[in-house]
Amino acid sequence: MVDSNHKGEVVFENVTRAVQTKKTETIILDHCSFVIESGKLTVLIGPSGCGKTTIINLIAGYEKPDRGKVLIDGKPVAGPDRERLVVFQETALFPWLTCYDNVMFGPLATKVMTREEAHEQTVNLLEKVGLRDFLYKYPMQLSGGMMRRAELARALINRPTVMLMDEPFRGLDAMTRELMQEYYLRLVEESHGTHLFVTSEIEEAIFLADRLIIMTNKPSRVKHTLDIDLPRPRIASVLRSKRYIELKSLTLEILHEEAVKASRASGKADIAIESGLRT
Amino acid sequence: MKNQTNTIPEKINESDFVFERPSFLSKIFTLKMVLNTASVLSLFVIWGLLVNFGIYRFVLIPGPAEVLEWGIEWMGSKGFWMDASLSTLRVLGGFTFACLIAIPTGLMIGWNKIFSDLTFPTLEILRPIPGIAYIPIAILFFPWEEASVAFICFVGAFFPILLNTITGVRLIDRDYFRAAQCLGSRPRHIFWHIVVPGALPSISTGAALGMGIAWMASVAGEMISGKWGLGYRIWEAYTLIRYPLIVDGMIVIGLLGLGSSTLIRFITLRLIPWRKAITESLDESITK
Repeated sequence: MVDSNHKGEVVFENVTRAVQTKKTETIILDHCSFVIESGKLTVLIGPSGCGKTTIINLIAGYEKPDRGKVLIDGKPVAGPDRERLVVFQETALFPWLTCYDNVMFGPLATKVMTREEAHEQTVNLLEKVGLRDFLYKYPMQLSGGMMRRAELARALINRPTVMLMDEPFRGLDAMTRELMQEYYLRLVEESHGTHLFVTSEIEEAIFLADRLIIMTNKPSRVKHTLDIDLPRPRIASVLRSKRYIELKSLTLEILHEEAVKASRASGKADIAIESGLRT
Repeated sequence: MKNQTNTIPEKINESDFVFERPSFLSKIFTLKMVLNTASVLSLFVIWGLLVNFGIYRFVLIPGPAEVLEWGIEWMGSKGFWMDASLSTLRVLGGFTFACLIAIPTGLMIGWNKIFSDLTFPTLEILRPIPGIAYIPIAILFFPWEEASVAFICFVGAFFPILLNTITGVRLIDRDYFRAAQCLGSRPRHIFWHIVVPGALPSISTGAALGMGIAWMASVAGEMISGKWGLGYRIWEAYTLIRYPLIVDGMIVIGLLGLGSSTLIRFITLRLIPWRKAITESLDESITK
């Protein structure tokens, strides 16, 4: 417990990241600085296209910052590592492995536990996420919600120091989504690792978060951080509490400002394209 | 809530649960089987009509009855089995070698940039050269006739398998590699657990294609450098003016080709059990 409180702290120091296409250079992150505290569930929220996935990729080590530093417990990120686990937007369960084998993949690749231990934990975890009867089904045979749950199990069995969730529940219907949030919270409240959850849904963000980081429109910076002091364990009734509604309207206000800016920026782009076509 | 209970019948009859078992006849005479048989039959009917009425130069072509007569006689002889088995062995030999070399090479080219830059341009130069063009070189090079025909088959099968393997690897979703990396997979582990299974569906397509081309190549190879074999028999039948035998040889090649691609499909379905889940869901969207 003491250990987990001191591990998995993610620090962004003046991180700039730009994407170059043939002619233009788009700055996605501009001197972006923030801290993701260890052992907490931080939710990153911002207008779509504000570089949330880029932040995930930088922490995971799939991309490198152009300027500035991304530090994990004081050390710069060197590349992908099993300490930092990503759950992707689209399902990334391996279609050639059954549900069971997908969850076993991590433990067997790293050999941190014996096959028997891995087996026990796999069955255990899959039972917890309600997939006991689907152990030997292939991902294609599962529903969207089941796939996400299997993916949660596949990630959590490795006990990563930092868990990165890139809009994992996007595209699920409202009912399944709610259910997934509850499954996820239950697993998080047991795991005590550092969690970063990226989303563009305000309700989801406030319901899940210990801390909320609100991003500005591209080029992104941190606009605001909010501590969500709703009690844990979180249950659905939280959504009706007075504090929740306060926090929601506050967040909405901040985000609204950004959304207006974003639509103005894209409006300008439209005009630019039109005039470009005319000449 | 009360409305719902009203819709449920009060008494459930046993007869509601009787499922009709499909009879033996209805199993055989499915629409699919009828259509498939009609397809094959129509080929023979059209051929028979064209020959019978002597349309254009079809008078010169032997008709189905003649071909059947010669075919039965040929199949009763020892020579037929010699021809069929030798051709099959040559094709399978060339095909197996092609798989053994093309699949590992393709996996490496698809996965490793340096290996790809090192080998791919050379292979691209060799690729357009048809198998038949290798015949003289094969005769010169191989001390054994069987080897030279098998080599022609090998050349034919090699490139479809290679190219499909490469595409198979390159089409693997980037997220699978990323997911494997953060699950703690090292390059060698990624190769065996992501690259190989990820490319398998495409490899099986390549293998089926390669098998077809190996049969095509075998005929050309045998016409020139064999003493036995279906391709040789076809050519011999032409020179000896035993025309119906030409068509018999063609039909046997067609059937053997069909057999070998069915075999490949059967094997790959075993190797790719998850594919069944995919094709089952695809079947639903095909218009019936």
